Amino acid sequence: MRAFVKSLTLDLFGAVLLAAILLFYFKVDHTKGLFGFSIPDSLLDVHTIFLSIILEAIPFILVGVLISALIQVFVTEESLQRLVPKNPWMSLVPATLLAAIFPVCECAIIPVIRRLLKKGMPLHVGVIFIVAAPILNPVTVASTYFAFRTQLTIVYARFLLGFLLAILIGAVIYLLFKNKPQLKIAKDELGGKQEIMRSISQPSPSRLRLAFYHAADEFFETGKYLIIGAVVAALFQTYFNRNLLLSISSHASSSSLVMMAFAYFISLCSEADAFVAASLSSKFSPSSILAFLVFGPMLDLKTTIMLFAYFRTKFVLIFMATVIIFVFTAVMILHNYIQ
Amino acid sequence: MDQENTYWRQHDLFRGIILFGFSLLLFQFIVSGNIKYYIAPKMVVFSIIAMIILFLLSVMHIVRSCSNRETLEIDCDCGVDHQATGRPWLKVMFYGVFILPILTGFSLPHKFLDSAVAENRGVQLNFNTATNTVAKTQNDSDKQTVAASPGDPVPSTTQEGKKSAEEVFKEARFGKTEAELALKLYKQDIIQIPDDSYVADLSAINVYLDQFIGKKLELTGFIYRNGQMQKDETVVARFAVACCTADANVFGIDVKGNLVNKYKNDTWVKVQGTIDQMEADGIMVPMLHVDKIEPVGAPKDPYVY
Repeated sequence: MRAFVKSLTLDLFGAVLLAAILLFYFKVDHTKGLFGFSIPDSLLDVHTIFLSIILEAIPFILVGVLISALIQVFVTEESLQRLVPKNPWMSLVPATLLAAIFPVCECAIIPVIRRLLKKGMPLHVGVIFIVAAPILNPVTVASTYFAFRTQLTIVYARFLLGFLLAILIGAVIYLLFKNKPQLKIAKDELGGKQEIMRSISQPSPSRLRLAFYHAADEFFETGKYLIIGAVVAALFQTYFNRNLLLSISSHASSSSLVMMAFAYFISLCSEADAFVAASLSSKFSPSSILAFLVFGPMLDLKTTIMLFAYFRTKFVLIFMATVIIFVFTAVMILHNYIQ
Repeated sequence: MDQENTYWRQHDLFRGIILFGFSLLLFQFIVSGNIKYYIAPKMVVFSIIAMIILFLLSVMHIVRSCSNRETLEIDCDCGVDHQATGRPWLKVMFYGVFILPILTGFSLPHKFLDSAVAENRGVQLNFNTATNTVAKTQNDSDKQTVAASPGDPVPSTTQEGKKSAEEVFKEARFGKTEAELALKLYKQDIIQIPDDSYVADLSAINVYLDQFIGKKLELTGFIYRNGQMQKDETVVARFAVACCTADANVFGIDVKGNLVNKYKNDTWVKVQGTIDQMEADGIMVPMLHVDKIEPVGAPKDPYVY
């Protein structure tokens, strides 16, 4: 009886939610504030940027979760194992090359990689994908070329650095972790329950339909981190004065660090960040622009939140430190060669 | 088992409704055209695809919540937390995170970015953000041409202004599209800057700035002033969006003259003036001496792409 009442209230809640959405859809007048309250302009700016990040990312998150779902349903662990070279050192370069043709950006890559890791892909190969795919993917190449078409040094340097650093970071992760699993384990997986379910399971729905259910569930899992990340990034974008970047970046090393931090906090999609970098290129040295372009796709605020959700804390911290050290060192070495 | 079933039904229902909400939000934005506040036109096609996929997923979930759930998915061993685990308030938080953008998206007024955001982002006076090297090389080669021309038997750069400029465009070794664009603009008596090639046009002018000094130019933008500017100086600026509003850059052209005094920030104006150059961050950039300025209504789409 109690269960019945509880279920009824929850159903009611669902109905109210649906009604609210429909009511907003049909009734709300956008020219006024919310229910007569006027909202400060700067908060509306935050909201605009917040929604634009989410709406921009949703299609790509969907691509990511659909690819992940298709992998889950159609790729078996055995076939994956056959594809990965036995010797871990031999897999570094092929993995980076494969990442380069993988057309996904940093929002979409994490669910895909998590799925592949669950299927038994080695950890360092997954790490290579996480750092290389967003930089080296074809769309990023095209947009970077367009934004920097007359400063091709930056374009070449970005992709060369992305490629080499991905291999190095993969190698370091292999040395540090070998192949010990670093994913968090969902509660469901801890056994028991599945056995019971299996015994009572009904005839299987089609595999494709199963893939779609997966995709939706994963959309929710990934989406919550995206939305939280978007709130922070929108606040930062609205209230942070970019002229401050200049005043605290007098030196080559400090300006590279500042630009890395900037790339981290604005959390732009790797496929669009080249345009923002181009707008800063008259005020910053090429090496610090490069720091922005290489670091941002590998690591930013919203991917960090996703990483912490899926991977063990210790692993994420070591991974972040590795990426920061490698990108910074590489940019400092290059600083003397590019002008 | 009943309880388990009810539990799943509700999650399916909630998720279905939220997916439906996102799909409806996208639908409303796309149909009303309000999507332009958030996404660049070339990216809207992805939003349409996303809208359709979200709708299909939502139908699947709502249908499933109304029928008996097939328990098989739990059996899939995929490691996804198919359920929102934890305490009730955690579940409320979980769904709240998703409901928030749907409800604010429907209810808050849309707003274009304005001079307050421009202040924080910094206005780009240099349209060759990525073409510094070209500008420098091009200007250097101009100087060489000019220096060489007195002894040059072929009548070239110095004789007739127009001819020399066209020759400079033809000689362009790289940035061919920019050279063609510059030539096209150069032929106009009063150079018009249309919204659909705003950045490209001004970038071409910036690259061949020497040739354009003294020409008339007309463009539309909003007034932006910061504290350091003189009374008779302002910037007429536009937001340029690459993919989404989050990556918008502010581009502007410095306008000098007494006529600009009375205009306040965020006023949309059409300004006509004579092109000159000034230095910004060590690079020569275009500026205008104002001849004519008039207030205009904000354009339907204030962003340029």
